Amino acid sequence: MTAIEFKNVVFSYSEDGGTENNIEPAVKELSLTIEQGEFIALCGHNGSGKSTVARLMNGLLTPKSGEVLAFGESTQNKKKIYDIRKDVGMIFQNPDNQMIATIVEDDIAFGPENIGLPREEIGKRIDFALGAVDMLEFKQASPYKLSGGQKQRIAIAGVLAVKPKVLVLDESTAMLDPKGRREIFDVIKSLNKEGMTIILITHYMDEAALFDRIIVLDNGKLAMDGTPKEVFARQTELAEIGLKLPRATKLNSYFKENGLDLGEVLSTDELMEKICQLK
Amino acid sequence: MREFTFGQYYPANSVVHKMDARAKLIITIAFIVAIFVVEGFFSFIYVAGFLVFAILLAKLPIRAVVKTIKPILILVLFTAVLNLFFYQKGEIIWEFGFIKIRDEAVRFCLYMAIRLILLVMGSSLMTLTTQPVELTDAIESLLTPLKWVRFPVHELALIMSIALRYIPILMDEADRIIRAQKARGADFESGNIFARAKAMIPILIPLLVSSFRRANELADAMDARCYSGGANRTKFKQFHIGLNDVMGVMSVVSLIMLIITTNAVLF
Repeated sequence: MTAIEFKNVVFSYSEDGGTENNIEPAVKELSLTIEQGEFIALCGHNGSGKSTVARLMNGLLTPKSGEVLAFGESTQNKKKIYDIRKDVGMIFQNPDNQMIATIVEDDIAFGPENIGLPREEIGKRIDFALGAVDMLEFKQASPYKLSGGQKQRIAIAGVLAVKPKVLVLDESTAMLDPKGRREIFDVIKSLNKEGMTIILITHYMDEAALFDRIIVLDNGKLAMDGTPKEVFARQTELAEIGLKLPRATKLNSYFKENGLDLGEVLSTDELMEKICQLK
Repeated sequence: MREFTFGQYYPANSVVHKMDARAKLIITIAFIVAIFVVEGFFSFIYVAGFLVFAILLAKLPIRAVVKTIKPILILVLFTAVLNLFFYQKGEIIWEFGFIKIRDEAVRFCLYMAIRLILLVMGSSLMTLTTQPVELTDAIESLLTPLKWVRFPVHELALIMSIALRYIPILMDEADRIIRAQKARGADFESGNIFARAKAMIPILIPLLVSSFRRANELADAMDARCYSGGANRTKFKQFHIGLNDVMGVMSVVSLIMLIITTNAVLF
């Protein structure tokens, strides 16, 4: 099943579509298909249009031309917009800026309240969502006292409570420390195993290496689309776009240049293992 | 987080804490009415008695409640002194040059001071025993009839609770900006009041800009979570009126009736 489809999407933040004032469109003729259940990292340098693409997915922004379809419904269809937002959940960068309540439980209830669920069902959804991010014991806590990773997990729970099919994370790990980043990755990985489509937007390639598919945007256009191995093989192109290789891949290619061939390596753990196996 | 002590929530496991926030709000308003219904000095004893009883029931240390008067003490003294000199009724009991003090003025000042102190203590008792969110929910619930005249009750309550949520966050942000500007050599301590006010600009502008950015992101996040206004929305937290709430409201009504009867008997 196709989850999200971009058909020749053009988007510009200026009114006239970018022809005047020399404002370039943020997204140019982008076509893209995302299948249900995929585990995707959407990468790009600052200003590559990756956050714009994310906001096009759930109709926070609508294309100037072309079409974005979420489960077959166009995001321009105003009658269906709340159904689309129910299916395509979105997490933002700063967890502090996406919480509306002063108690964890009340914040999670916000989404289910918006779609008009009955009270008993909201109670169940809160337990389900907090369980999924392993934060059940913080039900009555104040978000203010939690760590960055914990806050972001609460934000994810708030979206999960609406039971979306797709989860878009717009640089949601950028403000976190490595531990928080790990926490979020573990949560989205397990959600993906249960069939949820995950799209993480990042410019941090070490993180992107852990996904099944990497989509690279450059200047509003699709630059690369493939598995991490395929994408990281195009080293020089990546460097031109302004993206750094993951540390492990970089070290590995340095080894190769100096006559030590360890084969393909994507993560630090993998590299470590291969080095340990050397005699 | 810096403490803002003025009636901040004081967690305890008491009957008053567990009361319906709407009942507490109504009782507090009725209590304030009671304070101003009082005519004779004697009736203040009832009011004070009621307050002390409520504080004991709420399991609050008396000191925590008394502390809430501190910020308004200057205001109380100022109004008292002003009234003492300018109140024009009654016999002159003391005269020195142009200063004349009348007996009625002394009585009036005393009443005013007692009223203000009781008022602040009474309303602090409510905020000390009620979470801010419960309070905004209570206001929303009590204002519901205004929906008939298209007053945006839900939106108002949501704005209030978001404002409450962001107070500590913005305070942290201000702290961070102050430290950042100090690190760049900003001077907030020296100079006269105008120089110091001007030195605040490099704090206020980044704070303002960042709150707009936050508001924008929050609006996006709310949209993404299917927010479409108050219509068709359900509420997870619901109010339950219990026996304690009814008893509370009845006792404050009897307090007012007692005061009115006393007034009628004495005057």
